[in-house]
Amino acid sequence: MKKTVIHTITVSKVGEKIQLQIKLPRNTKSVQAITITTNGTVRMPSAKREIGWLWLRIPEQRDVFFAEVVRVPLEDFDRVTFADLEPISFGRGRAWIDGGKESSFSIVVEKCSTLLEGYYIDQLRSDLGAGYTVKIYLTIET
Amino acid sequence: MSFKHHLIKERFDISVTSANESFKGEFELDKNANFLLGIALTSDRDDLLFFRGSQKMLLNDIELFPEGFESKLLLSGLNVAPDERMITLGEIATGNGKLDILYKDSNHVNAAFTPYRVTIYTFSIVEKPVNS
Repeated sequence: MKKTVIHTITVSKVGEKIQLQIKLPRNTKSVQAITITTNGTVRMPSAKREIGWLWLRIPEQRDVFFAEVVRVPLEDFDRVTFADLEPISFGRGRAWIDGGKESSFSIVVEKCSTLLEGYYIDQLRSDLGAGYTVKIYLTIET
Repeated sequence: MSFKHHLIKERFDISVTSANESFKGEFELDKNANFLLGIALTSDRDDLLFFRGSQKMLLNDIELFPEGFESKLLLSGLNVAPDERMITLGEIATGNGKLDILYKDSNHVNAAFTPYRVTIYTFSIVEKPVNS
């Protein structure tokens, strides 16, 4: 049976390095897919979308098995296209027109323990405002 | 194709009337809908659903999506062919299916709140098709 485990990282300081541990159910057989999302925002997505780096590892068994540059979603907000089709206030429509179906990063991490470790480094390096969150979705086989 | 193999498509709505709150919906699936194949999520304000929404979804108390699962992961843009917009769930036996949805609205800097509607479509079948 497949289940989804969600871990949320809250970033509140500029350049913050966050160690994290994700507890998995005891009957976890493997991790089958990973999705990373963020609600962070940048002022000019065309210039820089990268807001952080993420690593995940299995303690005592193997080292890093997943590394990701976390980017703000919908890179094409700043480009004008198909104005007549854009929903109101939804950027400038590009994301809506070009956006596909979300799909997870497929991976098979077998014999993983019930604990995953990792760390996240903020790369926004500018005013965070009220901060932002990064969510890690792990699809696991139990 | 007989009726038994037809897709049963149902629509359920949740009205989001205030910001930063959770809204619960309890829906009964069609009595002939014996296997749930998938769901789709839309809204009259896709931007608000995309930026502000997350939901927990249970079918007969079996967790389909855990609390905090963002709605944007279940949305499809115009670029996705209509026939491919359903999020597949396998073929989950439903019995007298009861779908519980706990939708949570959260503030986001890119989308100011205004009341909106969240629509959940379910796709079910009566019987699994027999491969001939």
